[in-house]
Amino acid sequence: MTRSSSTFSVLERPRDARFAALFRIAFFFGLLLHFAPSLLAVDVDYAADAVRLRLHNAWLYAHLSELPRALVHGLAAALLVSLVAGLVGISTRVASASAMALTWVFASFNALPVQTIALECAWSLLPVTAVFPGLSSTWSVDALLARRRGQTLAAPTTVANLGFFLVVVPFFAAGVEKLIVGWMTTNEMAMLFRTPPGYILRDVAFALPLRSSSLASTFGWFTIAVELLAPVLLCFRRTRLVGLVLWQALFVGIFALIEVPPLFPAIFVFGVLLVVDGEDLARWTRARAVSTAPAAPATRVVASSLLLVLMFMPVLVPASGCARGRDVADDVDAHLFVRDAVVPIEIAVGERGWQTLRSEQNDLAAAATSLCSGAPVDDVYSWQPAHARVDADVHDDAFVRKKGFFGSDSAEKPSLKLKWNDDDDARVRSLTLNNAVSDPSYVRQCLAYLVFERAGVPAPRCGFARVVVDGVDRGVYVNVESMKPPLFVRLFGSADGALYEGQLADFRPEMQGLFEGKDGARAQDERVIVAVTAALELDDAHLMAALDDVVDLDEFFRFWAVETVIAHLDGYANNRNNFFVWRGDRDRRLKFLPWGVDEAFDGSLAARTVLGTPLVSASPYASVLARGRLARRLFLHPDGRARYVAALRAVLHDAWDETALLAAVDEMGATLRAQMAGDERERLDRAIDRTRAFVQTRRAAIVAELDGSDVVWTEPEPQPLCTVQDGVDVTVATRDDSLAADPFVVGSGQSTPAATRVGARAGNDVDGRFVLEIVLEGALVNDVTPSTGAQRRVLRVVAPRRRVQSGAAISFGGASDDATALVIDVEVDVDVANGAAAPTPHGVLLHGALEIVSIDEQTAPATIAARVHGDAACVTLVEPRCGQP
Amino acid sequence: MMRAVRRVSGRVFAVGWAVLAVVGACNGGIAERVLGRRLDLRLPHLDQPYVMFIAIPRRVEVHSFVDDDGQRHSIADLVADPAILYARARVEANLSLAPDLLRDICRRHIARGGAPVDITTDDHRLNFHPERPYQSHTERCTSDGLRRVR
Repeated sequence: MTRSSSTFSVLERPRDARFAALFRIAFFFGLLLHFAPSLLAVDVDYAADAVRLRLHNAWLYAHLSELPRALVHGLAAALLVSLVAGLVGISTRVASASAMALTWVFASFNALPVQTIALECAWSLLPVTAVFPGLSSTWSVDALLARRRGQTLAAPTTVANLGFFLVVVPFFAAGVEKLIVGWMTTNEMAMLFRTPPGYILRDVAFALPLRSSSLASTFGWFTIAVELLAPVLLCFRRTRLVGLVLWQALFVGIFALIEVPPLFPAIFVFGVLLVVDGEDLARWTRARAVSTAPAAPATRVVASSLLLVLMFMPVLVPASGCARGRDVADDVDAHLFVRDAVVPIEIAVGERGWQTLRSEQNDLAAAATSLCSGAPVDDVYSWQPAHARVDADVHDDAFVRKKGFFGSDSAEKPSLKLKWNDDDDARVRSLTLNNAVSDPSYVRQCLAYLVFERAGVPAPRCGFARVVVDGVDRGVYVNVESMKPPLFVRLFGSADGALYEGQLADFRPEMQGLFEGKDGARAQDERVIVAVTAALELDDAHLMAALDDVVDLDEFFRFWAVETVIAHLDGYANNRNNFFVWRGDRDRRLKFLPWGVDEAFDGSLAARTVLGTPLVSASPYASVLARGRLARRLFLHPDGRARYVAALRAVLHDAWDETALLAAVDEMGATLRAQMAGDERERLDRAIDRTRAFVQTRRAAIVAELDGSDVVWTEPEPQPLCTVQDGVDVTVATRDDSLAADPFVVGSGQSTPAATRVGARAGNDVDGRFVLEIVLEGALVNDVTPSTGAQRRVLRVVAPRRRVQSGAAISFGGASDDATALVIDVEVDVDVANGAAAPTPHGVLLHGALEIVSIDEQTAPATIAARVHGDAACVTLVEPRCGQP
Repeated sequence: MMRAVRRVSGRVFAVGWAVLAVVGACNGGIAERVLGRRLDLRLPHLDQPYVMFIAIPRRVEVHSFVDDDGQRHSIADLVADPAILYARARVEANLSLAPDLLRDICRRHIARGGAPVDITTDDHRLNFHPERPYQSHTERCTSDGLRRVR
């Protein structure tokens, strides 16, 4: 035997002709069962107006229905004939080639997902049965005719060995995949057995005690063990019978319990028999001692490779992947998030802790400086130790803190985050309690998440809570499920991945760093976010394909459509705000999750202002919001727009069920009304009525645009958050503790660009921070002056008092230890420091510092000489006209 | 000579096809873990990963209708050419992946001369209740297509 022959001997080893024939019959019979119903109804299933999916050949998908019907009928007949020929063994190789081509033609025209997945295995085998002879060497018409002619047909060799290989490889890979995705952690088998009657389980499955979590877990382990072990056992003659028994036992279980295409057993149950040869049969039937026959070298190579993969499995499988058969289907915390009850929550934090908590505030200058520096805003709120009782559960080691940005900030009824320790990772260990100051109806958030959920968008659960702090009733809060591992396990089946919060963040080079990574994730390290930004820079021809690789576009279109339908003007699509993106370790494409939806269901939001600035821009259309770069590019792309419109119609059809939504509003209204009285209850009723009216009228507004003339999106892309405009360098001297004085009396200095007059004053603010307020008169850059008549630029510099020492240089950054410099442009008569009017800030100073030149303590109060320099940046957060003439 | 050429080309095909099978089998969750994405391998049998429902859906919709005698039936009974041995599973799994098929089932039912029928969609959440749907809605299938009735 030559070396070449030895190498290929495993492929060319003769196998039992009867098993090959058995496989041929089963295989073609399975294909016949798979295709015959639709081929016999060819005028219906392959009609031009059939709902079709394109999964394979684009040309066939577009043109098959245009072919003459006689030709289509002929092709269908040819396919049926091919399958029957394969079944009875007439020119099996020709029949295989013909079946391969024609099944591909019809599947290209009208692919059904389940049919296609079954076909994939068949398509891997048909070319092999077309190229190599041997399937018809017995039990076939060809064999009968050959026998009559006194001829012998070729025995099954390569066709059987390669066919066996093609059957076991995907089976083995399926076992590896199950381990990789942590099948046993989430106990997917328990999930499978809990799918409802009428879905994919056979009726007999409901008569068995399969809903037992531990039994399902055992089944899951058995499945993985067989998938990984049986292919190895089948490679060795000594263990082949055990492998075969395990393999068939698993498939018997599958077919007994789950409705699967008959093509699967045809391929897998019979395909594995291709490995059996005469020696096996002799060994099994007569117990002859042939076990000493060594395995062929290539067989040993295959088996060794599979064993090697098994050995390295721990590298591939996360440690948690095989930990235990947890039953996450038992969600013991579901009662915290229901719409028809209010969860009682008591928090004991102590007077000092509560005062600290409620008085903490985001600093506008620090936030703007952070955003302009391309970094997410630091959380300024501190955790206070507390005891908490959540419904019936007591948590002695809890922590509570304030939450919120500017819109929902409140000292009287702050929004809260509450967390506690729990050894059970699957249990809820934190709550997000929103004060609903922006939503007097209290129902918008839960209603919005309900719509997202109905549309198939992953969303947090939502309910209500009544919060008592140190014995004082703080009222009703909206209780939203926190973005923590139990939520990801529930929504995605695994908590393995990275989460990023989008708060004024977008997929633009200057804004991608603003995604705030959670639990140690860093946006700048996140390749997927960078890849989305890069994809959005591509031209139209390459945009969709590039985005498809990095964003779950189907999910995003639904997310975007729901944001539009509920008028979530402060969300991603319209304001690049209030959203999360999740990058799972398995499907690494970004998925969008909604957040901060308390402003939804309210078209008047654009009229509201925060810090004197409109909170959001209104959309000119009811049917689209497209200011976020991803939404904007997709809406301006023909395919993207078509998919968006389809998603919008699907959301209106599937999720926007006014009857169900109004019933949910009424259910929540009744729950809330029982918690309120007097004016508060009247306000609630009025606000709920407005929400009801929105639900009742929204569809008409959107459909009118969809059915009417084309919506043309001409809105310019939003300005960057910051526009650096001009440099400022000022040297001043002033007295400390002079914030109430006239700056031009207590201070003086020089500036570049030159100002007509320079004044300054200094002192401590209410939080004990050092404040230096510099007033420049006549130093404005005319084309960026934000308000007509503004003739003074005020630089309000704030720094930690302990860092204000002679020679200190405190740079402008967003961290708590840095200085900030707010730039305020005012009219001459407005006294900024004394609050004579609420000035509209213009922006901040960047790339510079507050330098303390000297502090003369000999005078009382001290005299401070300082230099302030940096680049003035206009910030759209506070001045929406940045960059506009 | 021809026999030798055929033998060599057969071996080349066999080895190449076997390698492709391994690559295709790894082009699902394994590729996602190792490469961060799946590859487009072009060949029809490598278009999709082999394994379906590697993660069981937590939200499951079941479609049914009630006949004139008040008996509830799977929507698979409205399909003229039901799949053999897995009729319900094929319809439901396909609907979960391509919801538009519901309109097609209705259209074909009416085109065959079927009477208008109310199709109920029960939306089950696996964490909610083992058998009771989380929510349901009904659409009337008529010659005008599907229209939600409740």
